[in-house]
Amino acid sequence: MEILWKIENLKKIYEVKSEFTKKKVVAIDGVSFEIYKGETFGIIGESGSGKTTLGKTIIRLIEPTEGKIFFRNTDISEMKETHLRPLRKKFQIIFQDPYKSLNPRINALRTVMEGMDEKLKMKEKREKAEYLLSLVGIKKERINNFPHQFSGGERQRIAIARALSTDPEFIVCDEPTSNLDLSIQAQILNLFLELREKLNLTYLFITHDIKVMKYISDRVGVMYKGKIVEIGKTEKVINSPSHPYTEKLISSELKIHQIP
Amino acid sequence: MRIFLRRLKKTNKISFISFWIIVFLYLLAIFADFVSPYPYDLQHRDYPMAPPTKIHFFDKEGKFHLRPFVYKTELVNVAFNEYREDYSKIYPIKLFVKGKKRKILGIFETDRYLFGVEGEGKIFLFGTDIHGRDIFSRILYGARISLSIGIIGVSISFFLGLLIGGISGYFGGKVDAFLMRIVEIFMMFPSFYLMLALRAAFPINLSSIQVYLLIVVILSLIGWASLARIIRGMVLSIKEEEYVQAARALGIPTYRIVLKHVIPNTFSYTITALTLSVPGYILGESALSLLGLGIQEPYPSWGNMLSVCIGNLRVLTNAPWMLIPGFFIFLTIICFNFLGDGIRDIFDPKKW
Amino acid sequence: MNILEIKNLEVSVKTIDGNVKILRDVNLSIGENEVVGLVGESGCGKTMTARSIMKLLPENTKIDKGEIFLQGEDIVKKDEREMRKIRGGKISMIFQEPSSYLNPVFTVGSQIEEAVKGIRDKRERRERVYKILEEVGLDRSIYFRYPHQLSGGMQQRVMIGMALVNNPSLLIADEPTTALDITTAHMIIELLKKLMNSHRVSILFITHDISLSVYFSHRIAVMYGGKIVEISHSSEIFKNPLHPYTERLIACLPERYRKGEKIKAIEGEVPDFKSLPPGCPFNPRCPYKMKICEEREPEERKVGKSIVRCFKYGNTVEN
Repeated sequence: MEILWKIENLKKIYEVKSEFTKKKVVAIDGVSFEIYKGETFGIIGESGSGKTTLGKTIIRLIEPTEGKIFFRNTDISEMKETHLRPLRKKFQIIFQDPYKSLNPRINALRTVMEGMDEKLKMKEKREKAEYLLSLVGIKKERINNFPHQFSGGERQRIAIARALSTDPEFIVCDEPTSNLDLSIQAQILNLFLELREKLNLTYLFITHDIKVMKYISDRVGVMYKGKIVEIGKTEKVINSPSHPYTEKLISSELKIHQIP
Repeated sequence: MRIFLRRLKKTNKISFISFWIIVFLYLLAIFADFVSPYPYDLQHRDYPMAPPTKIHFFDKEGKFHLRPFVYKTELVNVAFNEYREDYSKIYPIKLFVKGKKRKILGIFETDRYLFGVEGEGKIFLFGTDIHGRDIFSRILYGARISLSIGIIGVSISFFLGLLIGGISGYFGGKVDAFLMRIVEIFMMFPSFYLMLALRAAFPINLSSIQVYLLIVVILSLIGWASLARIIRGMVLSIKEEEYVQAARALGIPTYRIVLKHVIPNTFSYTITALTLSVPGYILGESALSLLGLGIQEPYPSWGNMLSVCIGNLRVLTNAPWMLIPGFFIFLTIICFNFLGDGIRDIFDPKKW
Repeated sequence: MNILEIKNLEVSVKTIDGNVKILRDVNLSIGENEVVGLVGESGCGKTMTARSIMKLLPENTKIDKGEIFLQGEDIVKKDEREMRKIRGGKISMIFQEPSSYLNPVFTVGSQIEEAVKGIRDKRERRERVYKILEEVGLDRSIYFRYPHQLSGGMQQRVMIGMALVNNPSLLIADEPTTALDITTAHMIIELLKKLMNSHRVSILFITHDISLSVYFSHRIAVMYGGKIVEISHSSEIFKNPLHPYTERLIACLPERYRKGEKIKAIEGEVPDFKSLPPGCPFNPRCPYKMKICEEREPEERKVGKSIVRCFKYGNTVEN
């Protein structure tokens, strides 16, 4: 299988400065893994495990402290922002909270048009944005509405359309359904699967929800205190966890969410 | 603009009314040359501290006149400032009366004013001051100073605040540290003493226009610092917002992120803060004029008109109408405050 | 006797566009030492139900109709002074974000101590706090800690301790585990189970997580559009969901599908109170919609041991 991302010994250390002390907080502590083209790679972990930081560091929204990030064999870990900018179109991100991830002053259509290729004409951009919005299920008569006029689920759809606007091959999904209601989560999960088929996408799917993870991802990495403690096929990790932390996580889950 | 007004009307009635009052005041200031019956420096020597002229509809015999009229008044008791009306002749108030030639806004020449009384009669809507100058006319001319100082001052400090606060917040690091120390130096002094100190640094005998410019500059130098500080704070937090990160992920250049995503989202605060700080400038000018450091006589500003009353008991007891400029300051400030509230509501996209 | 009995509760909120009903004809009872799960999606009225019981409704919101009997006494009629005694006494509440309900400038011990009612003696109060801290699985030394020094799970334990310190007869738990990690959530649920038995307290467990509710509650009330559409035993609800909404909601759980299989999602959006459709609130999304569903609101109806509001089970009123 073709390797899309190769992460080598990635570290992110924050320095927390106060008046007298300098404290180091290790958010990602030497992580290495690969993501294959076309798969959904899951990252599971509890709050504070560093999973969101990892997702953002890979696509350089957060600067890594150490380590290498290869995207299609190109090391982007130390690339300058100006060189990186055209590459950014290839990997996108969808955030957890659709209430925060859309600019409240920009309507749905312009939100989606904003990141499109500069070479496109205004009319082409508009047509493409309309197509993408219809693809994610936003009705045409509502495309000029502002974010606050949409429900949480619809905003997440708009955020997805925005991510698709640059024709990416890879999307970081940072807990995209954990702020949504169950019935809306089901719709959005369906949408993710549908888009993966249609557009041949690769996902890095970050979540704390084992049920969602089991449903969507092919392989999974379990994160604990900044490290990936276990990595493997989703079924294998869930059915026969090898790390004690994974075991604890899954047993808690199975106890309170028995599947009838 | 029309959308702005419609929204203002919908969200906040009081601020909608305030808006129109402010517009009205500004129109009066702009067309002071046309509206005011007398020039600001015309001294009616026979009428010092005359009370507001009574406007009549019925004459002595009880006959009704459709056109309101005034009587000529006469100072009868200098010590108690008593005036008596002379009922022998009525002087009707007329629109577009003829008078001396004046230039409106320095462009159009006219010899007709909005209203007035012809002949011997005088009309002093708000009475006169110690030198017999019409207070109503002086308020209109004074409005030019008092109202424009707010707008110009606010524009300058808005520009400085947005620029310096924006740079400081977005780039952070050493630039931020340096700029914020400068801001702190400005904020360190109590603003009133800073104002006095800055004023004292310049000679006292400047022309009115120089003083005016000086006051604007002094006031905006005091005002920008706190604004810059707040904008920096907002930019710092907006910079971390997920929609800004999403824009970065889309590969949008920095300047466009700042212009489209960061700056507009500070407006809900800044526009409100600006409207609310206009009164500060008006008061600042008044305070300086009150101390005799502002606009110099004979040119009126609301502040220096009030300054005559200070410490003058005779004025307060015998001629309370000389405090009317204070009412205008009050009205303007309260209207700007209400307008600020309304604008805050409008800039909240959730209320669109 | 039932600890809590809500009868025909109607709550409305005043908005610019007029009065909007947010709870309509809510009937619910909680027995002694029973856990009742109140399940629904955001904006279905579950938190409003809880706040009506506490009589802590937001501004412009008021109870229009109905009775809430707490151990036989109607608390709708009680005034604010009497309610203050009841809150934290007979009824207490825990919340989703414990951190925002703890005051950051006081030690947690002093905050629990403040909640103790009916004990004057300083030392006895202190002892009471130590005892409750032990019961919720925290060390005595926690007394002198400040909220920010504790993890989310420990904060929630403190909240539970504070809620149970006066031995209430009813505990309202509003999404107590939603903000917590799964391992912590599991421990909190186990703790609540233990304390429920040792303190003989009934729990109204509000959650959006239907399978968690099945694990913890005896009976489950499903809410939709300000109404309780179904009340069933938790052992029944997965096997035999009666209301179409319950059925479809359970069908949305991703764990019921194989990887990559299309989830049978409910179409459309969760309605907001201003735009509820006429008739049954679920009718626009319902796969079994009949003509009558748009015309009339279904009455409560007993089916087996459950209560359901749906015309699928006939349209006549029955006791």
